[in-house]
Amino acid sequence: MDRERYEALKQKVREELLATQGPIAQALRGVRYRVAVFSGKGGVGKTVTTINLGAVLHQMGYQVGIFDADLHGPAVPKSLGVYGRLNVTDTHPGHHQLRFDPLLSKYGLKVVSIASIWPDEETPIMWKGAHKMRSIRQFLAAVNWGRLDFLLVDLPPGTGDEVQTIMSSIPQLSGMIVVTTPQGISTMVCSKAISAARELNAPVLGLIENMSGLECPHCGGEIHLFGQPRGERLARMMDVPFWGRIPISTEMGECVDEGVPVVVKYPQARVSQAIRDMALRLLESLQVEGPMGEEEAEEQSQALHAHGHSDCGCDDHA
Amino acid sequence: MMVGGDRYVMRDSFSVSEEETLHRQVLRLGSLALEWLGRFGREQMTVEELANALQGLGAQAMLAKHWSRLVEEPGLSSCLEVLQLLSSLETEFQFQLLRYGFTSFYDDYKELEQALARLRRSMLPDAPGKARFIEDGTAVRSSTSTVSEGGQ
Repeated sequence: MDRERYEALKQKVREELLATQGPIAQALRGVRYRVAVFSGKGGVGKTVTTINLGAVLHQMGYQVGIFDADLHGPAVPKSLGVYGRLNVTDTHPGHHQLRFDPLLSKYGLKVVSIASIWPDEETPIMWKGAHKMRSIRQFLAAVNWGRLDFLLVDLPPGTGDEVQTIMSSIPQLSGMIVVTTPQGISTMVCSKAISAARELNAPVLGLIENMSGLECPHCGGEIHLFGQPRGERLARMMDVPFWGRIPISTEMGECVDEGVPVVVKYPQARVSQAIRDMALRLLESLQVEGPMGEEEAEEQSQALHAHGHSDCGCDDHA
Repeated sequence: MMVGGDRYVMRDSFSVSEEETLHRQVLRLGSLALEWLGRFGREQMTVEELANALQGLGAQAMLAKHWSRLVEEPGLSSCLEVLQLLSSLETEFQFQLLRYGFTSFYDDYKELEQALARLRRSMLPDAPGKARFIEDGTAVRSSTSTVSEGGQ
């Protein structure tokens, strides 16, 4: 075997080992479904979609965690009213390991965000290049997620290095949800994002059109603030399932500022109904039969417990 | 005693000397790593030697040990920045090498150099966020150097 082929084979084995036994794989071993929410463009409502999907899934009885991967504009904690700091957990006294328990929101969602490790809101995170990618991976690997039915990853906008790193670092990524708005520019950029996901072999589960029409409070007619809906056409064009439209609503804006998912505060609102339908589409697309059963949870818990005592690397627990 | 009106002015549970010790320790680790990255860049150190040296630095353990203070105290944000950079190099060295190659460590050299400069500035007596003693020996922290130490 020549040198080049030998190196390629070695690399393949290493990648396979990392995917199943690497620190990120170990940290996510209790997670059944890993789903990333992304878009080509910023400001389309990925975070709001993510937290509300998470809240609906939790209402249905699923255990849900949210990883806010947007280093430069982390918004998940504020949108869920989570203001605490991530604390390092002591695995064994005297051993200093960088491991965190996620923060728990009032609505039952486990949350991890870079915003929860930064001492103040005013200081920007100025990490650059490879440092950012290392930090995302280090952070992913350091969280004690425990037993989860769903881990929703709120990705930064675009198709840059951060998104690619996360897509390729999460082993057995169940799929991606694409969020767009009716604007032509957003659908155009989204088509690139879908192509990028395909390039990276990440299955695209469905496309959501957010901010799609506003119901006139006087006559009940629909006002298309961002133009006529284009999401469905984009989905057809890119051969991606279209999961529906989330309308613009005043309730949504109010809920984001208050740190409450709209599906919790206004369960009867049109916007909440639309998000519930999308959560059902997610369950359907992943063929989820229901929340993790007691038996399965017990198995997971034992496996996690065993993991907790073996990954330290110290001789005391070998 | 609390100096009113400034959210960075707070009563601290640790002493000034403790904070200075941490600053100095982080500065020492960062300077060592900077020297190694520089030597690696000048091909005076192999990639294996650099990986071993960074892993032996113990930045992650130090970050974990002082975590609660580092994330709560704005005055320690420069220390957090340096330790976070070093600990990510410690754990994800191989990933960086495979994905970005040898030259990517030059960016870390530059970033670490800037972070250490910020850390040194934060250690100056009147640096914003710097803890210092006031009359009764309580440590206070100011967001600007113009906050009067006498407070109220």
